[in-house]
Amino acid sequence: MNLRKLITDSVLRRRIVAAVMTLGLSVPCIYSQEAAESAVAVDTVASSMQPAVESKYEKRLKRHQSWVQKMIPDILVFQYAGGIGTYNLGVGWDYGKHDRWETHFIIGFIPSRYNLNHYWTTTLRECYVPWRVDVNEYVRTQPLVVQFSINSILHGDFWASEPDRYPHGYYSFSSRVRFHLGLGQRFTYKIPHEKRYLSREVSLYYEVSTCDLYVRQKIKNRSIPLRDIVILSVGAIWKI
Amino acid sequence: MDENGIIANLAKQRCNWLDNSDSALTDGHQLQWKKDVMRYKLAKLVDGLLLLLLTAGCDAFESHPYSTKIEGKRNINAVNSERIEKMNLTTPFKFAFISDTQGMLDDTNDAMKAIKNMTGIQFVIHGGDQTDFGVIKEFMWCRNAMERSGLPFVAVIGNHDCLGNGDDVFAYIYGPENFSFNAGGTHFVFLNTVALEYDYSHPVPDFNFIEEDIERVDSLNRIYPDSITHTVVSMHACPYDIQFNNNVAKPFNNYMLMYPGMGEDDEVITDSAHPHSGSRARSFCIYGHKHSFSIDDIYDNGILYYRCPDIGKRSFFVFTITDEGYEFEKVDY
Repeated sequence: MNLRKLITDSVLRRRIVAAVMTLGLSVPCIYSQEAAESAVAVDTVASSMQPAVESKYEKRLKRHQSWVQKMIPDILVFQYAGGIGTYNLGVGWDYGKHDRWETHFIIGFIPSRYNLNHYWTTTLRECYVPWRVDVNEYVRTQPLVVQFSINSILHGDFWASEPDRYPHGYYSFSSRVRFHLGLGQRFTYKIPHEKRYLSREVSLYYEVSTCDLYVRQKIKNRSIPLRDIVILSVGAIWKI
Repeated sequence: MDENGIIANLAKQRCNWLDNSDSALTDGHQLQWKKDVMRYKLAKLVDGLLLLLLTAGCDAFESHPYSTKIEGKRNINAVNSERIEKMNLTTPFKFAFISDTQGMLDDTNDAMKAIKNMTGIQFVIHGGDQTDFGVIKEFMWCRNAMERSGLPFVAVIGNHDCLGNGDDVFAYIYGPENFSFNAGGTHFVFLNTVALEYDYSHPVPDFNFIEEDIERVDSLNRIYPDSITHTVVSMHACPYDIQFNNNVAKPFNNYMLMYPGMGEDDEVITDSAHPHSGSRARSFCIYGHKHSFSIDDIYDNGILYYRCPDIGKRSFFVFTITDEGYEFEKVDY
């Protein structure tokens, strides 16, 4: 069997595509256009030579490919402030009925201020968008967005569980991991087909949130004003 | 239109549908009615959110609980030390000591009110642990609560104040962690003793500072004999606590003995009826950390260590410095 024949072999080609996908080298365009086209081309050639029934392997491969495709993020998010970092950039996935659920993975940066260090943060966020109201053909609002975030500040000063030098249970909290709960609203512009370049819609949003430590202190102390525990943020979301 | 008015209006619409329809209230009407009420409640929620947004203002655009904007007075230990020295206090005078406020702001507010209403208290010392988590806003809440009394105050650093980047925040708001000042013939020393938090990355307790400080007092006493006769040492954790660097607990004591009024040959309480007969008459140490009240002679050499309970126990210390010695009072409020 010569090398040329080996490469043109349909199963092997698919396997190469699958391997590339698994390695995470795939970019949406590469997969969706070239790989899909080649798969179709291979199928038409293969169908003339092979029985039309899909083999177990082919079914598994399709499942695998659709799974990989689902893993490709379809949301890009930028957020200013909000207790998870000063400048935050992330990717996300939407799913569920009417895409009501979203999961974001965000990396944040906090510049150095006063005598404090600069910090990097990571955030895992779950959003629930119960309603969407179409104002007109292009504008849509999401009057309520509920967001729950788990934030981690990446610096040696902060620990997830207390270092070994402390007796067990000396501090019963983690200075690194913060939990945020927020309510917000989105205003979406649905980009007309002919004007689409990066995304099909872009949303601006704001969020009013608070974090676990603030809530705890507010519950313990009536004298803390509500505005002291409120955290604001604004941001933008692009959906492809 | 108020809430009742709007709901009433919705009810009126419902009646109209009833009148116009031949049959009784249909499922469709019920649904419409529920939808309208829900929309109204949603609109109210949105109004609430926007109102919060407006009242919170731009400062609420917070980067992170451990990196927010720090407002208000800063470098408090340095500024207030100078302020107290300039008061030119003469004996007898009083000062208050509170400790371990740890996010118990309501109790701190009450304590500061009680201190303000007591006559003759000149300044307040905070014995550390202002915060629970070392978060910036906790530092500001505690500082603002203490500021409301109008009295000068200083603070030592506690172990909770070091959590996260709390030690940096403390340095920004309070300034030095080891410092001293003289007032009314008394030398007040404030030491960082929470060594466990620094894991040997930082000298705690800082003997260089203590040595220089003793040298300063001695030179003052050489120029103006007997100008400083008392010493009050404030710290957060006492020697032999797990927070303390206990490898140097004995050298620490040796240094303490070199302060005025602390030495082996300094005056002791001779009155045998006194509960602490035999202890140093003029000098003592105060600390917090353990959340309970106690008076101990840790080294069995006459230097008393007063342990202040946390503010949640609703008590604080008041010391009166007199010519011959001092008086101690535990105030429950």
